[in-house]
Amino acid sequence: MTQTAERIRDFLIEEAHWDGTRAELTDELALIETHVIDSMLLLRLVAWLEAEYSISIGDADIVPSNFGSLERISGLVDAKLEQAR
Amino acid sequence: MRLLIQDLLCAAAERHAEATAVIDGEHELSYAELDERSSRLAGLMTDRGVKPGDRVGLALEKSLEAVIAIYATLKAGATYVPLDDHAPVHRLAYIARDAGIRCLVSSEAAASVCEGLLAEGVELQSVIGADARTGQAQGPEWIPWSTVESFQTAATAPRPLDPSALAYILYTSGSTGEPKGVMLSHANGLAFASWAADEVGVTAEDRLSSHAPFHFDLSTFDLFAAAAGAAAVVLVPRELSIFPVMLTKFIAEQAISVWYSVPSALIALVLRGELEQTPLPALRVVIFAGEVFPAKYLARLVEVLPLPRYLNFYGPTETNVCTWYEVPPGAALLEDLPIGRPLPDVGAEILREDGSPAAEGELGELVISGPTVMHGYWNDAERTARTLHVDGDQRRYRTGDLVRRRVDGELLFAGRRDDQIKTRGYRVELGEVETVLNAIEVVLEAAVIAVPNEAITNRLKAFVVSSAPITSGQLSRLCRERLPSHMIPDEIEFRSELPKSSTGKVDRRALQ
Repeated sequence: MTQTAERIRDFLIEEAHWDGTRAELTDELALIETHVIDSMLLLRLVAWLEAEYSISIGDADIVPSNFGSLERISGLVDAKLEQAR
Repeated sequence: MRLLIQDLLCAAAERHAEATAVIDGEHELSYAELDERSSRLAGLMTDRGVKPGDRVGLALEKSLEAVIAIYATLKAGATYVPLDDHAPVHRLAYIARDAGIRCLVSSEAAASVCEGLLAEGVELQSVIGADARTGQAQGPEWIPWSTVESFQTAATAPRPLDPSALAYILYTSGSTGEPKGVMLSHANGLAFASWAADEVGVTAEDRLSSHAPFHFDLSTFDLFAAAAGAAAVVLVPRELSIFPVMLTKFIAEQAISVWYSVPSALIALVLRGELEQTPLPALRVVIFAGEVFPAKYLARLVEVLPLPRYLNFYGPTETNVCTWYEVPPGAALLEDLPIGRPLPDVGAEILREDGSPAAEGELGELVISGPTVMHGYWNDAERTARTLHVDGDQRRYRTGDLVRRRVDGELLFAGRRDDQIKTRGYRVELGEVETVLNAIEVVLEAAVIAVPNEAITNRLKAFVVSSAPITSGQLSRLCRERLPSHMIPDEIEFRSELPKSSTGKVDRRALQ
């Protein structure tokens, strides 16, 4: 479990009104199908990630393969951080 | 002469039998198929005891079957009540009981919603569209879709002859803590859909988007205006509506020609949808309704997509769409967009508090009369009497919206006279959210305010005084058991006390 994933988990628990326990919000949980992320939260999440990590997320990056689960979101962030290095 | 909503479908099936009626991903129905399959389901409903005037619940995801179920219910002479399959089951159980729903149309994917309703004690006679659940010897009859498909009926379903019969009941936020059911008749739905199909010029060549869920009144345009013109309606998958770039691609690939949604969906496209890179040559009309479209985003949309007509539809669920405004091509969109002028045959008066007509340019409450106005709130004569004045066939509805008339005759929306607000295109009674918060054990006092937000009109912010430690996450979770997601406070702030007005009521204004 990466530190990035932990911080995003915090964001989702706070902002997405996650109604289970922290342990239930696993890295692999399908965030779209389970309605954790809706259209408005997604855009807020993107803005938060950009500010929090000083990265730039392109419109074309906002797709299910990058936002379908915590694992994928943190993977995207880590890749962006890697690119910037 | 079209008297009933399903007459639109029957006429389309006669004149354009092979034209595509509904598209759901890989699956399609022609008008002939939609007509045939909905008649079959109507026959089955009648066979299983659904009578004219009964309410049939729809608890299934947006799909071909959902569209079939809507027309089937109408053909059976019954009234459809769409249930939001993502809303908390407690809320749905309230609606099911309030509307007296005995027959539900569902699906395998949404069968858990039906089980939830049964667990809440809702008494159902039949659940159509799902296999029997294991371990339930008692309870409703479960009728799978395969039974519907093979159902043979000699007798056609009874046909209600009265256009004032209720076609659908749409539940919306109620200030007393429970949702209220807006009763709309065939004549109501037809008055709007026929006008809209004419104004937009819908033909069998068109492909209309179906973005709004069926429990949201925007969906009546998508379905019924499409049928009026024998156009195809393309169901927008929920996942696509979340990812702007994918939604843009969908509009392009599906060659959507008429788009209708809340502004926030279009704003997401403007901000993140890569509209500049994606030609949308088929798109000829863009319609939006449900909330104010901030001028700066609309200006950007029109700049990127200069070709379509842009129509602003206005009207609470109680009146359908009752006024509309076409954005003039090339207009400088610097100021507030008007809600425009009334539909033909619709009356729009602006009244002062004392009921006298407002002077030119003076702010007043908008009162709507005419064929699109609802028949009242289901099961709630008292609430109906507060806002609806019935005089014979004439119904006048006090919208609670404050408007003024511009010199050129266009109406401008200027806010509410009560505590109803808009967020993400949905309307929310702040009092309903407060009632739910106040019902939580540790909450001593709660107030909810709307914080203006450009992308979603308003965010909900709650102020809470609690008697024991509780986190905002825990409070949100408790709200989620009672409220749909758009009504859950976006932010919760804890206070040791709340400001009071001289009458001892919580002073929301002091919290702004």
